Amino acid sequence: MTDGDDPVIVGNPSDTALSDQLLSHTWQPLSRGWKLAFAITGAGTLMLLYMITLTVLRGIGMWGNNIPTAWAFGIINFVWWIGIGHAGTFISAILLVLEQQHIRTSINRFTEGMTLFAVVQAGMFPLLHLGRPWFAYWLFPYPSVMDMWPQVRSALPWDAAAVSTYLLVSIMFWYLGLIPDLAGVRDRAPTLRRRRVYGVFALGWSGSVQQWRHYKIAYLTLAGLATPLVVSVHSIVSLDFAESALPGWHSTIFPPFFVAGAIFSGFALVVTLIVPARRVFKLYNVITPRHLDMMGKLMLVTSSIIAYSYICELFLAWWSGNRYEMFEQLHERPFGFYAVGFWIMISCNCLITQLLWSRRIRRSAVALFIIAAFVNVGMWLERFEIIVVSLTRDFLPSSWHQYMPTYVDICILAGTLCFFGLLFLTFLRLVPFVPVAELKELKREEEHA
Amino acid sequence: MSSLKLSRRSLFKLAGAASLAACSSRPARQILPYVKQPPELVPGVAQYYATSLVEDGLATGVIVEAHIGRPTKIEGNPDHPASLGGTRAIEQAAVLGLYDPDRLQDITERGAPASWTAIDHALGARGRMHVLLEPTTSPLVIALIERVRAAGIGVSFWSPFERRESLAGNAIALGRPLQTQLDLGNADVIVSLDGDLATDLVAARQAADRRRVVDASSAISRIYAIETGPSPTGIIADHRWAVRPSDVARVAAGLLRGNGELPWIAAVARDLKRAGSRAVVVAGERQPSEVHALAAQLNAASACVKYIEPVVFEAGQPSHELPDLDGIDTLVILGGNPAYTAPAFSGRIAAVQTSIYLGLYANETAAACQFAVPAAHDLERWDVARGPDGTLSPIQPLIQPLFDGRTVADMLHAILHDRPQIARDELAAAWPKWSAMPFDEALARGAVPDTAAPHVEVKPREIAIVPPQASAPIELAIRPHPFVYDGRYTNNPWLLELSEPITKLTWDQAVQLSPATAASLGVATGDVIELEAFDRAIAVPVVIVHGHAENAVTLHTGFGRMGTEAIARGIGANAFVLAGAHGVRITRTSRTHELAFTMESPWEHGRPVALGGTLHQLATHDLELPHGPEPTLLSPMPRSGPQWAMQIDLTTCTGCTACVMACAAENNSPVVGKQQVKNGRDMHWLRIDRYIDDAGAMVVQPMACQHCENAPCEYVCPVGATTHSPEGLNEMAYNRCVGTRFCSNNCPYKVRRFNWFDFKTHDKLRVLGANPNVTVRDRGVMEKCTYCVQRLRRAEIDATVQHRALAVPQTACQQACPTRAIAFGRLDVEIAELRRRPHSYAELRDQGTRPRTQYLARIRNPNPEIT
Repeated sequence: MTDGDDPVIVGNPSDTALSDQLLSHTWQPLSRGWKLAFAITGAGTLMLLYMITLTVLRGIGMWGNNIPTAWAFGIINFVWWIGIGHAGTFISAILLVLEQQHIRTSINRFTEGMTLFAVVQAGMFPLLHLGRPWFAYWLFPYPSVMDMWPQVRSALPWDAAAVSTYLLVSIMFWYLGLIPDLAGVRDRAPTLRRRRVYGVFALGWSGSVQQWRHYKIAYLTLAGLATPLVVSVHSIVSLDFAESALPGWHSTIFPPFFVAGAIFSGFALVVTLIVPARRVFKLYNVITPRHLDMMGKLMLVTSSIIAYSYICELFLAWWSGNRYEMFEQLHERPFGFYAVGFWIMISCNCLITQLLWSRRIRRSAVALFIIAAFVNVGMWLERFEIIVVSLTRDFLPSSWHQYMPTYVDICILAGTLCFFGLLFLTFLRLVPFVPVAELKELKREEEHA
Repeated sequence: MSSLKLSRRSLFKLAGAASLAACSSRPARQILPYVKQPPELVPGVAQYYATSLVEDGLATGVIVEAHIGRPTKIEGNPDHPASLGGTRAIEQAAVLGLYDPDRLQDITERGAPASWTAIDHALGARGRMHVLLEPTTSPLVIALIERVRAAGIGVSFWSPFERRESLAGNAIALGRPLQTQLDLGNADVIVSLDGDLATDLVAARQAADRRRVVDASSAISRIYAIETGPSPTGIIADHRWAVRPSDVARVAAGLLRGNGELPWIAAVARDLKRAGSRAVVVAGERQPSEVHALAAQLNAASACVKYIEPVVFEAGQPSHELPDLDGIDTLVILGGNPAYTAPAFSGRIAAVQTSIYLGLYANETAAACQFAVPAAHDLERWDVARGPDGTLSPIQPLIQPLFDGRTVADMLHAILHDRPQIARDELAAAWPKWSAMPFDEALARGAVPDTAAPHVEVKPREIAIVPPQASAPIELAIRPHPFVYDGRYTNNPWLLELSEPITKLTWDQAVQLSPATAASLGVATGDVIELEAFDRAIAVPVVIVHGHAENAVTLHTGFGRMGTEAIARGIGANAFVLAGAHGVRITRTSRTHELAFTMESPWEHGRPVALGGTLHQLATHDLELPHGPEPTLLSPMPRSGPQWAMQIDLTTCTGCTACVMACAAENNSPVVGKQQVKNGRDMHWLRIDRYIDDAGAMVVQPMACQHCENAPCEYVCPVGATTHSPEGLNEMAYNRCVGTRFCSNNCPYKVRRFNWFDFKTHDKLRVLGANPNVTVRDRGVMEKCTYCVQRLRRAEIDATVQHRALAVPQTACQQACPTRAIAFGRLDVEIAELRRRPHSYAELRDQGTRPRTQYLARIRNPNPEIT
């Protein structure tokens, strides 16, 4: 059986059955597991708030950053989270534009939600890591009475613009896609209160042909807008490093390298989220081995691009003959103080992913989940290697200084994971997480095909 | 209190007197703000006063900058022969010492508040009295001492590091305890036997003046350093050998014989002979008298050594030993801290019935004495002292004593029951006895010329001097800490946070030993070891120092303070406990101690840093130095006005770190504390990079913002907070900085400093020492060297207002530098010639930054006989 023959919807559920299956979780009683998870992530979120308060109140010195390592956990977490977001946009926008609905439809709501919540986590860090976060708005071009504008040769104002654009487009795209399903909940919810609340958010959706026509145009237009963002946001993020002169950062391959890494890590997190959700909500009929297979393949492709980039970095460092580059890439990263991180990174991002050549592993939810977990770790470590290891060993040995995260650093990272989880749990509870309307549409198309 | 028997009547008498007497020993003339402002006093414009700071009786002339009556900055007095315009870090930090909130603020009796009347009463008690002073040169105090002695009161002097051995050595070699005066300005060959050419401001300047390389034809002197642990002297030396303390005497004897066990001794001896009268052997004060005697014999033909009668009163005489206090009823200790610097002495103090201590702090001696009286700081008092060459140096106050401090003269007057007089009047009245120069003129100059002690013509005796054979498996060298000295400056946070020149250690004491010795003992940096001698042991952490002699350890004094000084207390152990020991027994402990270094790696890692070569290489064009601008695609920054630039001469830089302290004092750099230094967050704009080069020699390189013409920091700032001025300065607008720290990441020199917390001082007293012309930075902003832009602007404003050409100002680091290694000025005027020199180079030139601060490579003049 080839992949093309594989069904994207197992069985032949009726429209009513699909609606019942995929919408009812918004009104059914809360499960104990959900409550427990919510409590844990909620507590973690409170801890995050406490750590943020501590940082803002006492100063950024609560983090482990120093001179020379002026950027560390904050920026690592930022790049990691923003990278994760990319897979969502890739799946929901690029696959839509490329008319790949058959593999997109069941999972795009998940990935859009993940994007949104990841960007929320990511967006906190550029703000928090500032010495004076209350002046963060100075990075935006606003007409100040002092006639002061951002300094546009720096990548950072562009970064601020790119990330905020990304957040706005992601919210709009996600919400627009939600409208028909919110209307579905409105129509089916058992209580009046729910029907009213969802009715407000459904914005008067009636499912008329005219509404569908406008909706489709708007959705595709937003997808078209979001598509270049997949490339541009992380390219600009990569310029935060590539535009500097620091060995380990000063590299022209960064934009494509970062974009590939972003999609790679994003798919890893999609798998990390979808596999348990698939099991908990028994979505075996709409999230099929074919979807898993597709994500496995994309992880393999992006992993290969990443591996190629690593080799490029090493080769170019040697080829440059530049003593600082060579020391950084050929000595400090593989054999220096943080060498363990480097080898874990290589193992997670390049070696373990080689298992994905096997079709059986690609189609095994458990195997895929484990590989994806490794990739999540590996991609975080990649940013650690790039940011921290480059900074701790720059030009003059006199300024070399080891970096160690503080408890605040670690709690903030853990806290964002919890906050992400909290948002995701809320999402699973309140919103139809598989696009029902689109699934029905796809079912019809498959039937006609 | 049992000693004080009071009847009810006398108690009331005393209480009444105490309430009337206002606790003052002499009428004071108030120093108050002006009601009518004199024309020369303009708010925002500093006043400068010449005065002297005194250490062990010897004066260093300084110019103190004051803003509306409060001293804020200290510079060397160029007219003073002990300063020549330079200062050590200690002088730079004296301002913070003045504004130290831990200073003794009230007269106390056993820690409880007391009145001056109680002191007067104690001084008036019958019985035998003894006065213990710090060594003094003040003719005012000496006259009083003579009157005190005439009254049958014993007087002696004590300071742990005063010149003792050199006088004793000269007594052996010359027959009299004469004081050695070096004149290194004419020295072609200098052999330092554990000598101190770097922190002695005059020797440092004279030696440096003979080592300014213009081109390959420059005839620079040759310096040999023979020492136990590396020192700034070893850093500037052309040859350096690490020997155990006991071997120094054998080296000296070998030099005199012309040969020795070590192969290089004969070559050095020949070099000394060749140089004839232009050769000099400098023996360090911590060496035994025999080494000094041998040095005197070696210097028999030298024109670079003169002898004078000791400047310090009764130096080298028995009165400079600690008294045994038998039968003494009242002991008066005026300054110093003998209970700490001579631990055995504190027991003797306790046995005395009445003891009075005059000091700046409630330190160990204050705790051992019955009464403690706050002393006036050097910046609060009238006095006079002599420089090391005998030059008369007046001391004038910059500020009303903050805590009603008394002077030594006040106390001696009180002992003599003199009628109190105004201190300035007393000094002015006595002045004509010492100098023909009018008092006011002397005050203005800070030093009276031609009052140096006359040279004594004397020839060394032809006697055989047997070097001491004392030796131990592990030898001990106790040395004063370069910044906290004998512990008197340990409560100064500026000095504690200053990176020690050799170890780069801050906020701590550590025992230095060589890598091989450490390996044989099985210890590493940070491990705590116990040093034991005379059945007394102290526990100190280890710091491994490359270039230290094998089987020997160096230990700094000044730590293990047990007084009430909040900052000094609890750091390290008292090295004076082991004073006098030649060797120590070392026991490992299982403990480790966290040490805060400002540098992690001592190695150059093959990087082109702190470059240098030999004079021969310079002549044969064998020295490849990166200079000249790298090509760039960027259009040049617009230029107008003077183009500021700096050139630092690594040949004469000793790494003494005075410039770093001066920079911090001028630019209100905060103190961040040990933990933050350890975290890599020290805030000094200027640092001294110290490396071990491929040859194993220690090299130093001052590093501050290089003011790059193509500055990598500028283009990455998202808000334009760091920009380029038309004068070539890389400027920081603190108020615009949001603290992304991208600029620091992109700085190849990592000279930017970030306010991770609110680091600025909030102490009401300490803020008085801040420079009002420099913004105090808030938390969350980046900062760095500005080329002392406040001084540049002041000079420009003065030139504009007075319609005259711009007088190029000095930066703080440049002004403090004892060896004048730092040059600052306009790129096309003052710096132009330096830039053209063949050994000028730009650090990290290959990064295309085009730094405005460049270096003159370190040029050595090694003896071709020694390879």
